[in-house]
Amino acid sequence: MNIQSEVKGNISVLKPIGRIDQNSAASFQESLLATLGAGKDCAVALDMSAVDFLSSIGLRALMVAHKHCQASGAKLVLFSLTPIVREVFSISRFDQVLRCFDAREPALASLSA
Amino acid sequence: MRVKIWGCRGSLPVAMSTNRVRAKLQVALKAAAGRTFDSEAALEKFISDELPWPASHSFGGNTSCVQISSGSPEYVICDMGSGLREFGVSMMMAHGPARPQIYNFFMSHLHWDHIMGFPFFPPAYIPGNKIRIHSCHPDPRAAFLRQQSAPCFPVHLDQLSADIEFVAMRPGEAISVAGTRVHALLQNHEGDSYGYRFEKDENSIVYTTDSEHKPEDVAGAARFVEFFRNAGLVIFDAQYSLADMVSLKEDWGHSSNISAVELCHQAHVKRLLLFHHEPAYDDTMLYQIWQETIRYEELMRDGGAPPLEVSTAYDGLEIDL
Repeated sequence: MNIQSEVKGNISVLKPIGRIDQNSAASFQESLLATLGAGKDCAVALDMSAVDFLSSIGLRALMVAHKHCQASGAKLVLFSLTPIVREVFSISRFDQVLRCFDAREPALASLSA
Repeated sequence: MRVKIWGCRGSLPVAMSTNRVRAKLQVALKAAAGRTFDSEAALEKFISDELPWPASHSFGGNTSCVQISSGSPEYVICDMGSGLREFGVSMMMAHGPARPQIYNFFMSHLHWDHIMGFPFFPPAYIPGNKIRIHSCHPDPRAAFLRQQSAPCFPVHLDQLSADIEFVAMRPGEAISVAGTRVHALLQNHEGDSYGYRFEKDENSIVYTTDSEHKPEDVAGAARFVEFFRNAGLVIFDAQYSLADMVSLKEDWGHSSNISAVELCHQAHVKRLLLFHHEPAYDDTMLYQIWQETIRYEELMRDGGAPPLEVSTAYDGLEIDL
């Protein structure tokens, strides 16, 4: 899996590309946690527009990142979920745990607020 | 082979409240919209064809108890949740006290919701009945003794008149019971639990409840995929959402519909039965979870793979394989 990254002020925008499954979840989680860092000033916006498949281990990686944020004070939001991933979030109830936005701008604005 | 669900709930029996009954009545009366029915058959047809599933059904409220029939005169039952009482009553109606029967139980584990039906199992009080309790746990009798001794219950375990035998099983050592070959598998649950695979001819049924499948446990998943391999039916603990399972309820020993579909797909299972339902969920919520699981299966299915049929357990459901 390829992950593109970009920094906008104090916000890191990560864009994973492809499937987050058994083969890629560990490296995805590692990249996400490294970017979230240890401080409460860290903020990551995850661009999900190029993720076309997400299995349970990929969802777990997001939950690990979410818990990391709860402990450290860092912030994590997601935006532009593909229709299938949005459905998976709904069925797994991850949409009730993670902050998801339809588009990039409101996601970044929420981190700046 | 045939499966009958006598209890589908996890953790604690539940009963339907008046409010929920009235909500179903409201849905039915609104759907009828003043119509009249000139026969019982017409009324039945309306209920079956026109009412939403949660209005015309109930999941029921008994804890885990599943009967597996394979054509043998001996009975096979997985777990002794509160659903065992109704199974026992049906046995008394079918056989009365004068015709002794053989009952083979397979215990997933000994937590209360899985043994609580035994004191209310009438055949246990009838001389001549044989009750064989198969378990992989080291001292299952101790749990039954605690349950049926003062101050928990007025009838001591030793006062039961049936011939009760505890049969030790070990994972990896299959046994033959009532015309089926039975395999056991250790599962991830507080105090351990065990899944059972029943095989007869080309058919196989897996009963796997109170089992937590951690998404990161690749080796564990491989063990279960092998255990489920090509099964005709897998009865699977899907009590929690995946989000709950990997956060608030991590290490509580249960699993999700997401894990169920993933493992069954990998194992080429034909049919999945969602089981051990959360007692806090009403019929509408459990129906929604069922429909979502059907959709998830569709989303996750490899192109060209045969569909995994997704069903949900409710008290009284019968499935023929």
